[in-house]
Amino acid sequence: MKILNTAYFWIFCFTVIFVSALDFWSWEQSFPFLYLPMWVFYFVGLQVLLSLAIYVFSRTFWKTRQ
Amino acid sequence: MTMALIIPYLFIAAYLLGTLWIGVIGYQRQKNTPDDYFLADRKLGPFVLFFTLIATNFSAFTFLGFSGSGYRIGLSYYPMMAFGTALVALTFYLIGRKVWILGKEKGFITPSELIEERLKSKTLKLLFMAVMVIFTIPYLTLQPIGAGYIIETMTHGQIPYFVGAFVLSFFIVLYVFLGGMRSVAFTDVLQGVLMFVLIIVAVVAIADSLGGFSDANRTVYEMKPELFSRQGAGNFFTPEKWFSYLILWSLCVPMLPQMFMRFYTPKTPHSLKVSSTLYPLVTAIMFICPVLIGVWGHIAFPDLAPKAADRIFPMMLAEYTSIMLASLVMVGALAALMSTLDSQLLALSSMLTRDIYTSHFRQKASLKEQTIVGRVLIVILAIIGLILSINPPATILTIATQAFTGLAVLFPTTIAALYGKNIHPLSCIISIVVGEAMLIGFLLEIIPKSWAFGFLPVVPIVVVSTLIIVIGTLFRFKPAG
Repeated sequence: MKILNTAYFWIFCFTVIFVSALDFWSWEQSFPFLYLPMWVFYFVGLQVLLSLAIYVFSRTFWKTRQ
Repeated sequence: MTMALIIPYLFIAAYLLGTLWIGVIGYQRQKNTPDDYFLADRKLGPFVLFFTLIATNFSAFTFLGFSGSGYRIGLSYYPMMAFGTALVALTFYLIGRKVWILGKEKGFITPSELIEERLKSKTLKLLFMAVMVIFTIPYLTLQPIGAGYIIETMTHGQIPYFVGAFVLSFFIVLYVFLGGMRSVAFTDVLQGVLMFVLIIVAVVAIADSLGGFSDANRTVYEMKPELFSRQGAGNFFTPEKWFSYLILWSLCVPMLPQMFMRFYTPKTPHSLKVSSTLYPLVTAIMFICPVLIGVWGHIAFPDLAPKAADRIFPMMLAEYTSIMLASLVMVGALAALMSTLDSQLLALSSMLTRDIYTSHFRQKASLKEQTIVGRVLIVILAIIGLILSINPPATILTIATQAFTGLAVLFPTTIAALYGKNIHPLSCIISIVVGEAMLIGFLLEIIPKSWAFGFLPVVPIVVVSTLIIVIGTLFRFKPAG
């Protein structure tokens, strides 16, 4: 996909992930698993997403910049 | 002496001898050139680079500081550190990739050599180096402090705080002295694996003793629900503070000389890509462990003073696990701090050797002479770290945050050096001087906290430092060189 080789796409993608981490505490207190708050799992998910994004980034855009 | 009292000594001895043995392997493969001694001949593969990056980045702060802060602030400390550190992976592309390319092309060894060549200023080079050295020393001091805490607790006070700090520093000096970066990188693999596995073992073992994860969390929640709030205890995180911490690590971690120099070491860019991809996963898994242990600390030790909370990790192990397991896990904590201290010593000694000794006193120093000077400086720096660790001044988080902010001031200059065009070195010099002056101003409260608009000082400082370079470039002074 051509879009994966454009800088704008990746700036947008990583900005969205960063902004998603500024969650501003609008959380209901709930403990879905291991009596840990929901937002703990939200951040685990964000980090998995970041890792996946970096993986694709390194196989596409980064590859073209060597 | 009973068996229970001997076990910690056996574990410490086995670990130190194992580390030393790996260090000697690095020594045997050494070619005695600066490239080889300081950068492992620029031939690190993905596996070794990944472990050396995490082992270098994660330190005594990860085990002791995180659990201490988990105790004081609560669970919200976890995403701040884990996600904030995960973002550092993006700088492996932004900074690491360019540094690697330039290092290969021009043969740079230290960060300031790159800055001098790109921005054509010896003054800027010296200033850049001075800031890196000055602000790495407090972070370096954290490691003997951690070693002292850990060994004193492990041996139930039989080995006093300072003796523990001394013994660990001595062993580190020994293998760094012998084998340089190759020894450091090899020992980092062992230390990285140990700390990753053992921190997980620690949290599972303590949870088991507390009736499982759910019961442990529920017990603390019923005692102190604020530790489970999104803002942290005492509303520690405001949106501004949260934003500041999230960007702080990305701005300062690549500016740690020991991290910056690792960008020179991969054999191919593939190694950097692998490390970058795995970094967020490692922080997600690993960082929750010490924070949880710190939070659970309220069950057995409900009223610790802030500074005393930095010892909660070994205290919890002693309270809830067998002496054998506690000793084993504390070896993991020792691995974390040793792998950082060895890299800091090597990075600082290489900078002082190349940027001061070779550049200003002995321009014709042979390659062998440079490695000898580097080795002597490692001993001197270790002694400085030990002296400063005699009386720890503040909590681990406070020391680290101040040291990191001082390093973050270098970020705009580094980006300018790597990507900028027509950048005047004077604008970078002013940027760094003003940035550090602002940091001192905030620390001494000459600049009121309100001028940071609720953010940590790092935000206004980096904004002003960046603006100075941008404005200097817009005026388009002709570069001095």
